[in-house]
Amino acid sequence: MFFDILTTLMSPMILAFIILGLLLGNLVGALPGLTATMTLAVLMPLTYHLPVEVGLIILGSIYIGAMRGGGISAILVNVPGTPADIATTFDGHPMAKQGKAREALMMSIFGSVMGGIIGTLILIVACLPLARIALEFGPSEMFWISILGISIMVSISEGSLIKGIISGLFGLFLTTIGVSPLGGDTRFTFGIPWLAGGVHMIAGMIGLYCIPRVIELAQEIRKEKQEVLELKGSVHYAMGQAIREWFSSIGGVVSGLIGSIIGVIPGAGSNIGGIVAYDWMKRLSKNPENFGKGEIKGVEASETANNAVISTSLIPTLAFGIPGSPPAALMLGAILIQGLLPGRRLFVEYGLEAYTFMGGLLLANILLLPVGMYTSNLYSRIMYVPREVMAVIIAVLSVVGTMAIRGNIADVYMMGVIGVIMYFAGRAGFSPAPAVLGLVLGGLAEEGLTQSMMIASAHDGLFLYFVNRPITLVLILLTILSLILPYIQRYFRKKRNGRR
Amino acid sequence: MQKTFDVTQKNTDRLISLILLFFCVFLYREIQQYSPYGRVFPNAIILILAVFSVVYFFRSWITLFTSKVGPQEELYRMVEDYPSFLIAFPLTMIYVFYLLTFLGFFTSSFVFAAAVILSIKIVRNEYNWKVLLIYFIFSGLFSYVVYYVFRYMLRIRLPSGIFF
Repeated sequence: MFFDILTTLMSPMILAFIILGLLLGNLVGALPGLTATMTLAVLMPLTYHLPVEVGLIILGSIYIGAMRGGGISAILVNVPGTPADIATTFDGHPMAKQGKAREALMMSIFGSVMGGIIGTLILIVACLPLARIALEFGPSEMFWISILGISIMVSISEGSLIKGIISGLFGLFLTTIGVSPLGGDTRFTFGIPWLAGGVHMIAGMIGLYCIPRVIELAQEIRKEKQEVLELKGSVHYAMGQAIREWFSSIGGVVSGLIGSIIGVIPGAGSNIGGIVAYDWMKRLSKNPENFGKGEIKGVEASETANNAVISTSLIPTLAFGIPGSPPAALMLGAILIQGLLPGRRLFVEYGLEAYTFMGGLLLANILLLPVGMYTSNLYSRIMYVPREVMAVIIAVLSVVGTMAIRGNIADVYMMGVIGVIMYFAGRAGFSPAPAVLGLVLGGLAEEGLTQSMMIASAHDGLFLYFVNRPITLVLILLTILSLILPYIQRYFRKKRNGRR
Repeated sequence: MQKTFDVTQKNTDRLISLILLFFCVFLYREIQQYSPYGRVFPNAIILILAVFSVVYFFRSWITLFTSKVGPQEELYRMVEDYPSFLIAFPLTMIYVFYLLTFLGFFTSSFVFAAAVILSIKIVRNEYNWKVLLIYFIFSGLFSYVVYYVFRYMLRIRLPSGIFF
């Protein structure tokens, strides 16, 4: 299998796709206002007709590139391209102000490469043993794992918990439109012909993430043109320095491991990974007072950790079907759309595809080094595309992406309707992330619940059927815990603030 | 001129919760026509949604009574910049729901892109004739490149209209 994977990965087509994905991801990450999640949603339909592993490798490369690209604007203009790059601004921008922008950028590239490699190696080693647990999953576990996935996304999404739950339920409701999987009823079409086909998962995702952004971007006014700091000095010399600096202490490896661990926790995400690793690096440093004033180790910690998160956030996604982050939820959508199910079967029946994907992630992280090095000048110049131009580009690509699913204009209408609802809901504090999870996991949840009811009707009823299964019981408890956790955190935060 | 459109949080929350409740009642009646297995999942969703809509409604009242009333009410910003919103929102809707099938993908994308970019530039007074010409050419080129790549190279079916 190893040689099969190597042969596939070394094919010119795969290499070209990875480089293209990294370039695109870098561009998206470097442009404040565009997000990796939105780009994955727009481009996912284009990978729909490709072999599953190729499609996932492209999406993974975009995600890796976007996470790294966020460091460019964080360093040069003090605006994090993605929320995960907040910690990069702490020292990256001060370095750029001191005329060391090139050094900071090269460290951000090398840190991202090393973090990505650490995270991907952990993904390769940890996925299969964890996926073995999923072998025990029956319909009730499938139902509750879907509910757990949604509840985790609810608990980490911005805004109030109730709004998060309503958003998740909206996503679940969307999956019930059209023909029901059991019973064959045509549900919630109200005689409108284009509703009969139901809401395609990808059309829904594009509607939830892209259309609101189109309307928002068109309205954004850049108040003043920020200064983009210049890049000075040789690329190769700066990269050499970054490599020496990274290997000069164990801080880089520690940051990679911190990012990897945080990535595994569903919902924790790269936003936290970078900041936690930065804090640890500061504690390990002999000169903690230099942090925040242009310390290269700060950039190293943040960038290493946030790229390590990418791969390990896929561990719960591939092993159990619980996405660790919104981009991972889209990757899960891409897996489900190809007819594959996460869990042990993915690694046994589609082992070649699964491990080729992981190998592709490793290769993408390695290729990020030359791609990042030789494109940093270019991306630093195109950081200020006018917002209205970005809005138009996203709108047109959203239409193309939606049409690519099944060539049906009904999907475009559905995308438009969902987009308008999400725009106004978003303005009122509703997050799209739980709705996306509902959309992705709704089918599995319905199948799990209906089958559980059929089995339970022959035994002691649904309640006893659920509580008599240990894994289901654990999943129910985890669901409850994930929903009450924000309240517990809020309580302790209030108590701590009260003491101060 | 006021460029933003804000709504008070408590009124909006109450309105949304009431809309959700009506939506739940309407859908619940619809669900009863379906077969027993076809209605299980939607029933569960609608009932839970109804419960949380009620909680959402009462929460907006509770915060009204418990929050310390300040000089200013908390607001949701529905529109950041009125003129741009009034251009971008209707044009996007017309593009998605009408122009695509009427004019076809290439022509409608060209018209949409040019209309949005040029109108916003003019409204914000960020233009001269050179800028407008550049963005007009960009709109045409971008639409054509996307049309050509996706239609002829990737063989994706795109909407056709009265032109092509």
